Amino acid sequence: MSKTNWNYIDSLAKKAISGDQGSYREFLEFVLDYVQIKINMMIPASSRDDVLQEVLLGVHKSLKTLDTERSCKSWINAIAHYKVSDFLRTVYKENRSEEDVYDLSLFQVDKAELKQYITHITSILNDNEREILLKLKYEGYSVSEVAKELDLSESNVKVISFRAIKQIREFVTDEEFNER
Amino acid sequence: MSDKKLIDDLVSEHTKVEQVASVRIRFTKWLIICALCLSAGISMLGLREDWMTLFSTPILLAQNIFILIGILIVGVFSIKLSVPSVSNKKKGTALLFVLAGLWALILFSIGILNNTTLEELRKLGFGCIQNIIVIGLIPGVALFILIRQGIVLERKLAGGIGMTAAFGIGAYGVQFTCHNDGALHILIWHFLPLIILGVSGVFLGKKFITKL
Repeated sequence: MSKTNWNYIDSLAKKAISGDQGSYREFLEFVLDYVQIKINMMIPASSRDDVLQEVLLGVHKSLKTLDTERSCKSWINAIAHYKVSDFLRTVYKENRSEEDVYDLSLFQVDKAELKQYITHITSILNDNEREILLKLKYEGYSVSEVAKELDLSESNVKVISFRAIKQIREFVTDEEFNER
Repeated sequence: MSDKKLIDDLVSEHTKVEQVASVRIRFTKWLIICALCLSAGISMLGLREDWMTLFSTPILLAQNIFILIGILIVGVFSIKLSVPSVSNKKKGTALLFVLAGLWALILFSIGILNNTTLEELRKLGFGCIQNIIVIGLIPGVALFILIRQGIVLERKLAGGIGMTAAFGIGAYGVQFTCHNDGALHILIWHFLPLIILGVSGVFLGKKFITKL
């Protein structure tokens, strides 16, 4: 997954605010791509387009509050996070059961996409941490099995796994929606 | 409508965007309004004769400074909530609890230092509530207008914090008009009304702040 050039996006946003329609189009297209993968992970397939468009409209309406002196990353994330939460809140209000909302068949997660996302979020870990975490959380091995296979103590495996999860949590929080 | 069509529509109607005033500018405006309302309110309601005790008694001075700093923090936070990404719900809620806890602690200290008795409860203080509202009403309306200039993602929180800040100005002003410095009096007739008015802001925020 390529690293986003936020300086470029910030410059697009600045030009968009000054009225440049070309930059604004490019900015909105970036927002669309940027939030799409995150929305795919959280919103059922049938509602993804609606939420995506809600995010675009939210960005459009909020443009007057964008501080061009700061990076627009957290600003976009805040709006996307709000729209996703708002959608989920509405779904709950409509008395749909939790099982329904989180029914994986509704999500229709593309396996390749999921793999790409996992690769992305584990890219910050070193090889050892990644291997342990994937064995424990993805492949379903127990702590003792992983410890035996890698010739480590069980407590060591737990500590490494705990630290890896902590790193991922911070990374995801920063990268996705909550950097506010 | 497809995403592409939506982008086309948004781009076609896009022109130069008038940026909303920064948090600092809006906060400064609000402070000026507060200062005017505070001085007008105190003059209208009558400054207590022994107002100097608020500055000469250490614990009352501490309360005085605390309320003022609390108002400034809460006021700026409520305006920050009108800019997506600048502040969040957790911080705002934690801030309210910390400030309320600290004020309660100061009141507890006043109670111990002044040997407060339950006799104080006999004196009603509806006038204090009325004065808090009188002094805080215009700052409250002004703050809502300033908040609405931005885009609020947490409407209830912004309303609650905004009303706490505005009527906090009222509670600050009432210190200079109310003659009763008893801890129980302040707790029941200054502190609790402020909490209730702050909670009412949650509903006002939901009703009067536009949803994104």
